[in-house]
Amino acid sequence: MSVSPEPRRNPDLSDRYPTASARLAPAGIAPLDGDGVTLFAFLKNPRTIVLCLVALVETILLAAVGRSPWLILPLLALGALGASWRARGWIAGTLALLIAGGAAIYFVCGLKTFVAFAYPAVFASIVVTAQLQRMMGVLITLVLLFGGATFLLDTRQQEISYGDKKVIVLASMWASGERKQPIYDGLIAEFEKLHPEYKVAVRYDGRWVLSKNRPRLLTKKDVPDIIEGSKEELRILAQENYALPLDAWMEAPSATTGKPWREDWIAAIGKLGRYNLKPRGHLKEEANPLDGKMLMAGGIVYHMLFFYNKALLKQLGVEKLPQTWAEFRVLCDKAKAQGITPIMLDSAYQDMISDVLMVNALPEGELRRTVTGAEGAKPFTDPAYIRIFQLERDFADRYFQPGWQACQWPAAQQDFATGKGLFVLCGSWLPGELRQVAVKDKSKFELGCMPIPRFDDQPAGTFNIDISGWMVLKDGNQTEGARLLLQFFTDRWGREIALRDGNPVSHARAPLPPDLAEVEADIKQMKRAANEPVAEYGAQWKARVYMQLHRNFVQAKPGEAHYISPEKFAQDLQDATDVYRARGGERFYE
Amino acid sequence: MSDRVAPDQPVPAHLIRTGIVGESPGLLGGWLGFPGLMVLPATLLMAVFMFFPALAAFKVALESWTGFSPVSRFIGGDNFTKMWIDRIFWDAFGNSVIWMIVGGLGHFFFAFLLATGLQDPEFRAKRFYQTLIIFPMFISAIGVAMLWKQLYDPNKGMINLLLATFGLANPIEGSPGWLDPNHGIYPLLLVSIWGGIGGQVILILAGLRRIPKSLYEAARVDGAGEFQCFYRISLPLMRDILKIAFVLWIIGSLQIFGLVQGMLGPNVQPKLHVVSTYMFELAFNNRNNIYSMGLATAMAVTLVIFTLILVGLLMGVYRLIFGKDKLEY
Repeated sequence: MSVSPEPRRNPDLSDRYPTASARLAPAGIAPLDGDGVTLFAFLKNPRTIVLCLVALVETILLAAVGRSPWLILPLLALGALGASWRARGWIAGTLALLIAGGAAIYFVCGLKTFVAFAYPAVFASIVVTAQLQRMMGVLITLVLLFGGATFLLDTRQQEISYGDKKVIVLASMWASGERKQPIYDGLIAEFEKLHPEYKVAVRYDGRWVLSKNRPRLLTKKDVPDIIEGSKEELRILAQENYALPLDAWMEAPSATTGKPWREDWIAAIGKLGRYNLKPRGHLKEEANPLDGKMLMAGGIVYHMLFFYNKALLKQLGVEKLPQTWAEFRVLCDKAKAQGITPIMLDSAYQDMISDVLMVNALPEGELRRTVTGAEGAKPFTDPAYIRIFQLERDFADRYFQPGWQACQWPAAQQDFATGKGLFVLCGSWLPGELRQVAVKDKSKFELGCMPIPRFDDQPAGTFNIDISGWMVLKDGNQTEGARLLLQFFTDRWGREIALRDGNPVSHARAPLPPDLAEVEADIKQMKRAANEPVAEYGAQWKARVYMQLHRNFVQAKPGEAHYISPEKFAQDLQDATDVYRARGGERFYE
Repeated sequence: MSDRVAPDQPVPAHLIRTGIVGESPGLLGGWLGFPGLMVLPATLLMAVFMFFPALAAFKVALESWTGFSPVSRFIGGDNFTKMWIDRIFWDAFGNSVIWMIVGGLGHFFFAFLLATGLQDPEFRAKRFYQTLIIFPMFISAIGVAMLWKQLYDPNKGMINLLLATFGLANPIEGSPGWLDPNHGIYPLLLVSIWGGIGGQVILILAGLRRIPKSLYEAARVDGAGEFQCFYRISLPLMRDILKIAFVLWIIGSLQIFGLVQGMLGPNVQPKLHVVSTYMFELAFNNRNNIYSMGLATAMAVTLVIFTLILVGLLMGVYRLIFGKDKLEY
């Protein structure tokens, strides 16, 4: 074994550019096989490897045990041994200082600080001093210190910010910057003044609130106390037993009125906070203990409505709004004859129209009976279904906006708000969304709304609604704080959202937003709050059976292969549903 | 004892042992030598963040799991059975394969065309066009999707308005509806070519520029035309680069996600799903109240196996045709 020969060099340049070995030798750094790899030389030293491995083992042990800082002592001893073996003298002194400093950090700042900050620093310093590779050592030290400091700040941020206050964490379905944020922020500031012992930390997670919080729920670490979402989105948390039943809270006196808290909600809507958690499909399995319990405190209500353009209605000379589908068709035909698009629609709301028609037009629970094959249930080939499918066929063939199959959200509402169409089917959130984009010229566009029409033999007063609200999580830390916050929200939040944001809410004392004044009387006389989502009992049926056939049926144009009659569609749907049930229903796919 | 070594002194034996000088004996018979040590951190990171999750995915594929439940249930191959009878999956799989084959043909055809043009020594504006071709690569998939969603709008999209000026479309009737599910994913492929062709052009250009010009000159002296030069010289001499480009394309095209999801929004029509968007819908998109993490993972595993088979086949075909010989000019 021999040292590699010195590479051939130009003798004229030797003085001006000495070799790396020649430059490093005076600094006490050993020469290498060749120039250019000096920087990494210390990595080749088995002592470094041993140090790294020991440090790795130590780190794992510290993480696993999470308690004893004394585990670091073997590392320090080894580091000291390595260092004194290499250079002796002042290095030993440095190590002694490091040990003393580390111990001081531990005793003053605690274990987390020590592990996050001091430990990597000590380790890096040992490597640096042991090998005297300053450049690389400094780099390693900086990286480790930066990483440690970041970790430290991250883990201690809450404690530093909130001091001794009890922190209520609310994971919101609204994103930062949305119209709801300032309303939340203002009310939370008031709540914190009222209850100085609490600090409310809102995480504006947006529509991905469930996905974002899933790791927390699974690990039971840093679980929010309250999570906000739509009833259907939060269903999975109820199914998986994460929710805290609120029944006892509902019967306890409200902080604002002194009456049972349940009276703070509109009765027909408040009860929607209860979940039907019976096993899906027709398979019998053990009951969910949370079935029928109040698991969500209702917040915003989403009424499905037909919004119309008053300016176009005036242009058509129509004064009376249609109440039945027959009247609605007449109006649509009239609009079409005058070159006005009757109904604006894009891909985002195609399924919504179908949902609304089914739930509104059928007797309560009928679709569920048909899907699950309950005794005496109407098949899809029954006239009650056929007339719904016929309505959709007519809409698709004659009334929807041109090219609706290819339109992507938000094309329909944009076109509607610029005066290009007479109707758009949407939820009660639409007025808020249109405020910015709608044309201000009232001769072209003025927003109006009306309830969903009904068939002639169907009683009036059914409103298809959905709600969003708050679920208190069992694994949160501040259950009592969550109760106080939600009770505080009941009154004030509802009022602010209704008036400032334009959304109707489920709270009894909150007003209806001004944009929905036209349907106020209808809503007050509401006989049935229809909320029987297929997802409750047949999510897989809807996705795998219904939506495939239905989209083919509705989207097909005359002359295309999929263009079939409502009767044929009903038969196909019935056949596919029979196959779905024969396979075992919902559980088969889960 | 000092470790300082003067250049003219013999190297102490203990320094040779440590590997600081001379040939390193290495640890573990060379496995953990200097190169091994250098790749160790990356290997460890890969193991922790890639191999372990990949292995865990195989386990999840054999389980019934909502993704929210702390517990899962072992169901053997049931997820694969469900996948087998799932029509949406096969539609999505078909779309992914179309994306790979038709999209691949489109990408490579245009990439060759453009790269050959850019390689022409008499083409003066090549830098300008090169920038123009590569520029879309700098836009994120979602940005490209937003842009083209506007262009494709049936009523007010620029494409239909342009066609309308030539009497080829009638925006009032909303035709043609480019993103109509009945058209399949072909309009999206066009966007993919626009947005992603720069990558292939760069690879092919690198390959073309490597070929000695003398070969072309000699061929032209012998009377070869442009197509013959391309077919007889460029293609064969770029086979190693093309192999890499094909492998990258197979992997990338089967994983396509952002562009499709971005253009079709959160509710992707069942006919327009590719495997990745369908997997996403089953695992994470909670709009339909479907939480089938196990089934989605089974699809992911199937996609990985399919990709590996295709890449293996490609390598095999290459070896069969060209043998193991390295390309030398």
